[in-house]
Amino acid sequence: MSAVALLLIGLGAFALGYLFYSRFIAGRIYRLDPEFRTPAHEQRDDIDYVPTNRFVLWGHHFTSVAGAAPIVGPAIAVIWGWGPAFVWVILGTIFIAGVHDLGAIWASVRNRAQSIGSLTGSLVGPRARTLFMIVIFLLLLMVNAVFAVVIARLFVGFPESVVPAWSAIIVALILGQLIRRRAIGLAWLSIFGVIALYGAIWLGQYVPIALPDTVAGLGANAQWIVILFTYAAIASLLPVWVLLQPRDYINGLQLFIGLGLVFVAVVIANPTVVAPAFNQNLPAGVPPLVPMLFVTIACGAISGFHGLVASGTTSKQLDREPDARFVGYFGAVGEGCLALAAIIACTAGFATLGEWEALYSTFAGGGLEAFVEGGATIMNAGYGLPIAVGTTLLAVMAVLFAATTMDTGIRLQRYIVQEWGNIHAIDWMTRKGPATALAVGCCLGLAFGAGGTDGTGGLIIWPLFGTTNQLLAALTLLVISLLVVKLGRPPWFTLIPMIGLILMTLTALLFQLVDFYQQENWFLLGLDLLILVAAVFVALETATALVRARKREAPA
Amino acid sequence: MRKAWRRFNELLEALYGTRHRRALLAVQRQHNDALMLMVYADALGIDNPMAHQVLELKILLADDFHDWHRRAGLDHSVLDCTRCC
Repeated sequence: MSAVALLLIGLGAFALGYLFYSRFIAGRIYRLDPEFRTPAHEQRDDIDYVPTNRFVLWGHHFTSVAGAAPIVGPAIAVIWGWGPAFVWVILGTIFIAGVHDLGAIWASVRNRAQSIGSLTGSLVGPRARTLFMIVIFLLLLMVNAVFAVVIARLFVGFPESVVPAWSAIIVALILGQLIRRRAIGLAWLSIFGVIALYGAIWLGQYVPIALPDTVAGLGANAQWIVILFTYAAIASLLPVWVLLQPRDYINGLQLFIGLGLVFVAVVIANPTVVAPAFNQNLPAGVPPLVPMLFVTIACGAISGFHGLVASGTTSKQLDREPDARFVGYFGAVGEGCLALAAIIACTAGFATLGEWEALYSTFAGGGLEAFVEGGATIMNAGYGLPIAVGTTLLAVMAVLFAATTMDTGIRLQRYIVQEWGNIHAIDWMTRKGPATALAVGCCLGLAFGAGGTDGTGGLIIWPLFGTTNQLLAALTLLVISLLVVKLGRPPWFTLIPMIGLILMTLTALLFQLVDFYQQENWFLLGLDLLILVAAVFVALETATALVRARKREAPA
Repeated sequence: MRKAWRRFNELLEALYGTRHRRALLAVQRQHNDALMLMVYADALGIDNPMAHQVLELKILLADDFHDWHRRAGLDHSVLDCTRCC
């Protein structure tokens, strides 16, 4: 199979999905109205509510939702062969993620830009809202733990990426200061920033940094995890403009550049996909494709996290209601493209099937390492970029995505802890320092609890992260479906994906429950049970809310 | 060409500001409130070593005073010197 063919089929399907399916959904189901006064105009305050150019808003939405997750998920899932991962990413993006993201913006815009959490409370009930908050907290907890493990593995596997990844912080700090002082135009600063970052990547190959094998009984992975959480705690306490904002911005630029570099290399080199379409030679311990594929690839096919961004900040800035189609649906397509790039890099970036199988010898064996090595090989074949530079470039790209998510994740968790402190009048929890320490402590506990003191097994919780993410997506689709039912329109286009997600999530959780029990991993068993209870409640709330909505509709 | 470059610059600035606008404005507001406190501290009965140096600012910041005392939770101004509402 030619990688270019795979790329063209994927991009072609996305284009058809955007041109036809999104038009149908926007026109017939959500009925986007150009005359509708959006909250950006109606409640304009120039703080949260600001009418924004749709291209800028798409850039904001896409860069906010895209990160390391749409790379990690497909990079693990291709172990079942490229076919299932490819089909799930394409169909998931077209029929679920696009409809979900667009729907979340529409639902929010039609309800004074309320977040999906608030809408869940008003449309489904207070119990569902509490459930929503619990799912969000679990999601943040897992994403921070998983990404710390992911970065640590990359630092150990690619020591050349250490210097450029930390240099990016210095570049961002300088950029933040210069932008604040308005020293020169942002276009020039962006160019200088990108040159500095890529210069550091080039330098990185000459100064690989490896930590000692053990320090105080902690292996290199574990040491990096501790360092990363220490950094994330400090970074989350800094004012937003100092580090987070310029870092997010540079990452956004890097996302476009990295995606372009991989796609151009695929087109020039046209490598052969060496991995099988369906892997018949699965290594021992690999879970069954159904249901695990659907929770291993969450971001890139459907992700509940998008609903938080769509109804949190995007909906408040929508200039015209029809813009939601471009911003929401095309934003999901953007993430689908990133997942597609990851699938191609992880399946076509190897010389032989044997080489591929050697890397994918365990379930989480491939992961980001496969993306980095495969992508670097393709870039080398495409335009001669030295392998060492290519691997460092892609490793740094993945590290920066994951690290920025960690910065934001810890900050959000601290906000939640502080809010709980306020609600329950616990003074110490309302203070920045202790709240951050508690948030980081929980994440560290999960990172080590999942994989032991060596910190290498954190990726075991990746499918659990997927299930939580899908649960959130199911809740968002429920809210959208209820609104659609209320308006007397056919709800099947959101309802069927929602039912599918809940079924897959429940099955995956039950499967993992048995697995963790057999492994006697009580920590993960407890976590699985917690998510399972949340999933069962989501299913029950869904059924109750839909029956109630149908009854209300019946007399009319 | 120059126009296109300016437009590109504007797009990048919009992209840069969009995501964290609220947090940045909150920080800016905190700074402004600290300045207001420094200027009006003596009128609130707080010993203000800077009182003499910030005297002229009282007139300049008078327009912002109403918003500030409302944010501080006071529906009406408690100062004799500044009766805004």
